[in-house]
Amino acid sequence: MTNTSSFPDQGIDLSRPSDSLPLYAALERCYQDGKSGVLTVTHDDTRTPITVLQGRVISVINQTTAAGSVMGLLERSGLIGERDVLRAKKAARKKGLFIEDAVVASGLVSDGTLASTREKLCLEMLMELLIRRDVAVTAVWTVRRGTREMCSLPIPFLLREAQRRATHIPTIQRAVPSNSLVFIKSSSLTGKPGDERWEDLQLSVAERQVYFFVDGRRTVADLALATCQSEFNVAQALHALMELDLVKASPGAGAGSAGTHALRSAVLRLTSLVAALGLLLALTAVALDLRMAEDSPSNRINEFDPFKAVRAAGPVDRLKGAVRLYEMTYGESPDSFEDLLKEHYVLRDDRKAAATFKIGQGYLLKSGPAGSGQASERNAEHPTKGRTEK
Amino acid sequence: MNAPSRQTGLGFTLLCMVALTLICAPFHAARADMPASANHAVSIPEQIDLQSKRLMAAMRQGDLRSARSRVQYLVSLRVKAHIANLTPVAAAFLSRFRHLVAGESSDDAQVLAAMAVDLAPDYPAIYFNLADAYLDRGIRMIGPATGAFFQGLAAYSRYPRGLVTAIGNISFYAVFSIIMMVLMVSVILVFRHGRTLAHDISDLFPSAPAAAFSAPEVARSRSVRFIIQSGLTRTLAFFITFLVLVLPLAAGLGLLVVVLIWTMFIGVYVRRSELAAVIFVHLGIILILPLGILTYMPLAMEQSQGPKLWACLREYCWSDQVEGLNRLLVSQPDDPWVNTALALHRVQGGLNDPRSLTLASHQLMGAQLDPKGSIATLRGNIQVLQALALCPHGKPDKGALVTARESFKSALRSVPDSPQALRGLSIADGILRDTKALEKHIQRLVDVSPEQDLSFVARIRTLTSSDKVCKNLGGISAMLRTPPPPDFATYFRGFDPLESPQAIPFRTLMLGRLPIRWLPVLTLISLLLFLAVLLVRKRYSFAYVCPRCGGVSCDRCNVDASGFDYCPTCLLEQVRPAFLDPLDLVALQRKQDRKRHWVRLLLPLVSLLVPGSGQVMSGRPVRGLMMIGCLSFALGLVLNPTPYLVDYVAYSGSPGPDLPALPPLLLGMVYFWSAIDIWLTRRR
Repeated sequence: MTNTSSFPDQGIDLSRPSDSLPLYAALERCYQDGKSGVLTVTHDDTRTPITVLQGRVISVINQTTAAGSVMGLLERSGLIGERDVLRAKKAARKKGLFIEDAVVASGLVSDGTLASTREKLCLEMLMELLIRRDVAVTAVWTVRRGTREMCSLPIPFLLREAQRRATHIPTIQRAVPSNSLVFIKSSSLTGKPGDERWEDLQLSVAERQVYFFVDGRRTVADLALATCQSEFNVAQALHALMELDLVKASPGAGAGSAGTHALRSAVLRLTSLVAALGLLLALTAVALDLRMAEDSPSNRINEFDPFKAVRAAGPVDRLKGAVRLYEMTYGESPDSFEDLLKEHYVLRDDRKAAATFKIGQGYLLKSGPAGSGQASERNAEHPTKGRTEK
Repeated sequence: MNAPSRQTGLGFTLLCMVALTLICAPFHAARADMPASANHAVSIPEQIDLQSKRLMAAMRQGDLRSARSRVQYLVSLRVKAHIANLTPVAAAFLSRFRHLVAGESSDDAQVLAAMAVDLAPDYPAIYFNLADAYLDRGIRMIGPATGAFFQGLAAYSRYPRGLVTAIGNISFYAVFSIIMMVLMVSVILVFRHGRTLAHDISDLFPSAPAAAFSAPEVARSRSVRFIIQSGLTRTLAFFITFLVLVLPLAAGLGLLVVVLIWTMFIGVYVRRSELAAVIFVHLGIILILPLGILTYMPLAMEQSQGPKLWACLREYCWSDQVEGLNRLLVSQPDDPWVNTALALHRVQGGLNDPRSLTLASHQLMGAQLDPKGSIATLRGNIQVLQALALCPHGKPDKGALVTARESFKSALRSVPDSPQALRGLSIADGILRDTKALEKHIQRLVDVSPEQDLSFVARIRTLTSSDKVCKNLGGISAMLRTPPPPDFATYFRGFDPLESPQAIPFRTLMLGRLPIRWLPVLTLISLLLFLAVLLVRKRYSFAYVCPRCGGVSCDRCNVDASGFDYCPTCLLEQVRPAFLDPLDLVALQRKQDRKRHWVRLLLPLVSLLVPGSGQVMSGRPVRGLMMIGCLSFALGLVLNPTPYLVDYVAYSGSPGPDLPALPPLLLGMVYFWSAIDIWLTRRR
């Protein structure tokens, strides 16, 4: 797709285009004479060899149709990503393939898509050259063997298409005089944005695609990039949309201002985000600092935690119950914690509570050899010794 | 909603957060004094103490016959002494029962277990033991076992101390489970809706151009600087969202309040199926306060007079309890139940002692009569015992008996069908040889008696008609009954649950500086705000996740990107260049679907690691909630296998060092359920 802003100048005699359009004439003669060969078109210090074979254009060698452009177009269409391109380049180098073939071989793109892409590029290049008068055409009526077929465009079709475009160019140029023009959706000027329904649009696929990308900031060239269409097709679609009053030319905005606006917005956004983040971090740090100052160890010690009290009460209550049970069973108080443990009245973990559990004049947990008071069989008629627990 | 209104809404929420932080800043956790542990020396009536030791000796020696006879004797002593329950003795019996009956026939074991029920008819564990003994006899005894089990459950209504302890233990595990459920569900919901929240927060800031499709932008978008910049803004937006969510916690509001704030944030994004989960979160937080009170209640009750009074009335008084009750009488001299307890204590201490009975009788004279006739009935019972204890000239004291009849009649005026008063009246009639009145009252007694065994009727006739009735004070005493006091009203007397501390795990982390009493109020406010948000959210355009492509967008961003209120990513798919082969487009779509698929693969893994989490993440919050609930309950049981609240009066030994079967079974069941659920829903 061309990135130049040149629409062909007017004044073409459409009844006899071959009189004023060199390439048109050359192709017409080629077709009429049944010749095959290479037509070299020279324009703006650029040479574009066009290979014709049996009434069809099979190759157009130009920067616009080069592998780079093909890959760029596939990337912009969203089918492949930058990493896919790098991977394909690597594979192409390794296997000695053309990069487009490497992309197909790696399964990223099908043969059909690649062929359509190339054909489209060739077609647009040919259309651009066909309706230019300032080109020189030289012909060599031999086709080199091994010429790579990039496309298969019938010459009658090309000539008809060129005539058709030449017919429409004046009308389109009146509506879209420059490719740096910016268009805006009419609905955003008149009604509430977002009220329009996508499925209610009665547009062709190409027009729908152009309409989607019109946003009041994109130029015609930007739209061509975004839609992967030629500038002519975009301008044609815009003309149709203008006729339907769906879009309007937006005065003042241009590519330069869109880029500047984008940069300004991004900087503002980034700055505001960083500022907000900084403020929140500062607030969080202050809040944490205050909390840590309040939650000092001395404060924590003085606080009563009922949940901890419940957990601490379990072993103590088990010891109380166990002592009572032991006294009822053996008629005397247990000598130590081990006596209760042996009877499975308490758990091992209750040992900690036993260290501060007073029984009689001492504590339940004794140091030294354990089990100094064995749970011996006693006569149950021994009187109970009243013992106070903790 | 247009952008300024949404900004206002979010800004208001942020303002509320700051306000809450400032309000809560001065508060410190209330310091509740640790209750002093009470003196719990037990003073069991001497004769009963002696017999219970003999019982335990017989059980230690494995002498089943001797144990059975001791149990029978203890039951008769209990009834004669007007003790409603010998709970410590029953608990001690349970501690040795299995050891005793090992090697004995299951029939004998069951008979002994049935007899032991009369040691403490209001003690639930004795019924559960009986149910066990029935089951030992085989599956054919499932009926009686179930009956015994339900009798045990019904006994909780007469045994408030056991019920309070059981409820306290259940609340202990429940509060832990509920906190885990609330936190996990909230975190998962925030995680699930985090992208949309981040999108709306980032929309508060100045917007950058929606897409890079102009020529300079396309070139720039390939540069590393631009890529970093766009990724940086997204990262910054996420960090800001994270800090907004975490700032209240840093400010000291506590996790539970932070959860409430989170629900308000995510309220605009929740789907209908998630509403139940959010409402549960609120209800769960409201429940934490009462559960905390219930958990601490057994410890709080130790300082209160109610449990001591109840123990005196329904078991027997401990030594320190008598002093406490006497002190209580100074301020409330005509309190019916305090007087009843002290009177019973005197009767239990000296059944044959006329002086004790006289003192007991005088104790009740000063008491205000209760509407159920309990005081009057007890007064009548004591007067009958007095008549037999005195027995001037070998005959029962007629004056005392006549006074007793008046007391019983007074009771019957309050409650005409009182079986206890009719019993006493029949006995008094029998001893007074008033045959006509005896038969009349016995007939009324039979009509109203709830007991199925009416052999007591014959015993009343036999005992009262005997010439040696004066020598049969114990037998007569065993026939007399007193209406039970209102168990729960007595037990909870003087206890204010609202003043009780609340046992909440990780209190500081959960509540921060907020007084816990504010929690239910804040939760209700949050719930109302959440419901209000639900009602108005449709009017405003908040971010949403496109169901087709999974991208996050909002109406404003849609319109900014394409001029249409549709997901721009999905719309872009419809405007792809015409030269692309449809098969390539399908392959591209599948590639994008595969990228999103890895998230779907992650959910089953997460569900297997933490049952319920994946279910909540994938939009089945009710099921996820149930799984998380079971998981957290099982975890609570595993971490705390032995209940912390113990009824040490009715203590019958520890459950043993091994982990009980329930926690690992429950854990296994939850993981299995989650795995089955993943398998069944794998294609969704």
